[in-house]
Amino acid sequence: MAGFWFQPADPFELGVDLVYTVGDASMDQIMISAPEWAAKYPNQSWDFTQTHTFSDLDLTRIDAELWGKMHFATKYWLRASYRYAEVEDDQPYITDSTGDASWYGLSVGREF
Amino acid sequence: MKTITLIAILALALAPIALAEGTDDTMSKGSLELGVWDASTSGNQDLVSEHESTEGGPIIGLDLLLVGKSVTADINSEVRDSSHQRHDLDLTLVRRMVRWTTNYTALPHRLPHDSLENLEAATKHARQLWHTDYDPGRQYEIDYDVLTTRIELQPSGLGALTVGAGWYAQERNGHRQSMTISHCEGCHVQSQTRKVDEKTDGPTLDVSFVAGTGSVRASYQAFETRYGTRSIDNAYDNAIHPETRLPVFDDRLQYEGQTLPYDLAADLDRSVMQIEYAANDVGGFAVGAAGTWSETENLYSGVKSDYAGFTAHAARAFDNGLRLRWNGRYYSLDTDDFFVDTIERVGIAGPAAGRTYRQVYGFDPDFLRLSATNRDTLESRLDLSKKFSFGTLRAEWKFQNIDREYYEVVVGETDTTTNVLGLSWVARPKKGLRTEIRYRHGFVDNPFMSIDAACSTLESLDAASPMAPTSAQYYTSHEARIADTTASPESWDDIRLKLAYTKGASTLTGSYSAWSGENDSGDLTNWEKGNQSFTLTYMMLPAPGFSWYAGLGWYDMELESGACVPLFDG
Repeated sequence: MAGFWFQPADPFELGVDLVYTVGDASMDQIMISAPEWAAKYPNQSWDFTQTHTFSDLDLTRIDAELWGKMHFATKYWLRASYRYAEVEDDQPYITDSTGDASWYGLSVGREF
Repeated sequence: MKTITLIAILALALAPIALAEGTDDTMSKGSLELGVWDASTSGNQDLVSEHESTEGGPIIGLDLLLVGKSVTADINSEVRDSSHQRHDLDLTLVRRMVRWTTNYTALPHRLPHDSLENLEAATKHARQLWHTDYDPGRQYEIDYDVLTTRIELQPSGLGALTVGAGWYAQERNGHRQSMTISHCEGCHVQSQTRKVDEKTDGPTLDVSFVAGTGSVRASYQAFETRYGTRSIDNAYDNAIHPETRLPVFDDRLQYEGQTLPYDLAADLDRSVMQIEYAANDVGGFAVGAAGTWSETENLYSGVKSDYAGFTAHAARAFDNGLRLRWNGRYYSLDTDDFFVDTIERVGIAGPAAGRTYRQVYGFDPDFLRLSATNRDTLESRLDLSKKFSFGTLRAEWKFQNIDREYYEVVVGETDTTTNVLGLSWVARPKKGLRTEIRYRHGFVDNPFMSIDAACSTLESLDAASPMAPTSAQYYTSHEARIADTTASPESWDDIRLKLAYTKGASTLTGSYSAWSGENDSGDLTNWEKGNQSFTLTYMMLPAPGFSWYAGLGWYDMELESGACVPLFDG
């Protein structure tokens, strides 16, 4: 994560925040240690070689926010903000969680 | 919504006073922000905006502090939309004799919708596993809101006495996915939309008396949890053999072929009474004691659960720089027994025709449920610390003994005893630098364990069908399990390091922690868990109008646990 706050001139403020998150998880392969079973039932297919991959998780998330604030008329200000979030699901199973969203706002404020 | 209206009215009533700046009697400061917001989305929103609305709405922010001759008000409000808002109000009236605090928070929570598409498997003649989603594509969400309000009266001339009354209300409203299953014709998983309208609320009352030598406080709380939708109905399939299409499983199932309620939620009543006492100086020690009694009743089953807990604490700072702190707790939990009377149906076809499962196999499916939470527990924690020239050393000893009434963690043993020993060192070796090292070791006698919970040793004989006398039954497979399973350590180690360094306009903070525990005390138990985390943050203010920061966080967890995979042929 990283960010900064900057006031280049008295009535202006600018802020930026960035967060980058990576998460992954996996489990070991399931080993069937029963050769006598396989010998007894040669026509049965007990294939667990891919089962452990069903639980794999590999998610990347980005959160970014940019905002600006301008003071005017002594006690008033105008604020504009933009925020972006994105999730990348690199190991989807049944449901793909990949998605993104953008939020933007505009507001005016007064100090008492 | 009544709360919002109330706070809004109050804010509007106070706003003109607040705006009357410069008068002799009133000081006010704060800000009001008004605006609009909107959002655009693409793809799945379950994770990316799990707790946020994307519908657009107003931006309302109010931050107001008003100090008058007899009134002080502190109001903070933030509104994004009806399901995402926060309001905090602190009000003192009549020269601080009346104090009123109210907090309200509302948050949305998106919930996933399982498509169930992986639940499909078929034989030549009939389905073995299939699914039906009666509301495919539905977006599920529950809106959560909680309100706490409390008013305190401290009568003039009786400043030592405080009487308080409050109200707590929590609601969850929305819809979620609800699944159930029909058996035997195939495993038919059915999914419906379930309405959630749950409310927990109730009053709190308390009275306290504070004197120069100590204080006494008594409180009472009563909560009701009510569900507007206690269950939903499902039409269950007929239990017929997937290949022969004959009703040969009736004696093995409690339900089939009818519409029945499922996903039941039980209304609850709960009351809590507490008495606390604290004395400032008893032989140089600050001491205190408290008792708590609570009863929770399930109004559907009539089962009651009682809690009685007693705490005590003592603390003293000695002249030689030694500080001692001790606190202890004893509590008991007692939940009613409950007899589970299984519906034993008579078979109508096949080898079990005219008989129940009990009559065929001699297996009694009824049981008396004895609560695993019934227990007497004793806890103690002792801290000793002393300042030296090289820093502050602190030693810690935690002890816990859980004596369960019924549940055995080892054959014939219901007690679990835990000891934790810890040592920490906090130092400031140079100006602006602070370091902290802490190490703890825990060891447990009879850690929580599920005895004979996995790994069946049953090797069944060949059988022509599940109804043949030689066919293995699930209960015989369960009775042949030999492995003890757990998710609790028998011993563990925990180390934490912290560092903070400030020089000029820069601050560096870092931390590292590692925990590892294991348990191989049971039969075939092989449980190990370890996790590590690391953080590093740098902040700098190089100029009056500029600041920046950067940080890194890392977490790693590894879990090892044995598992048995049962193999079925047929």
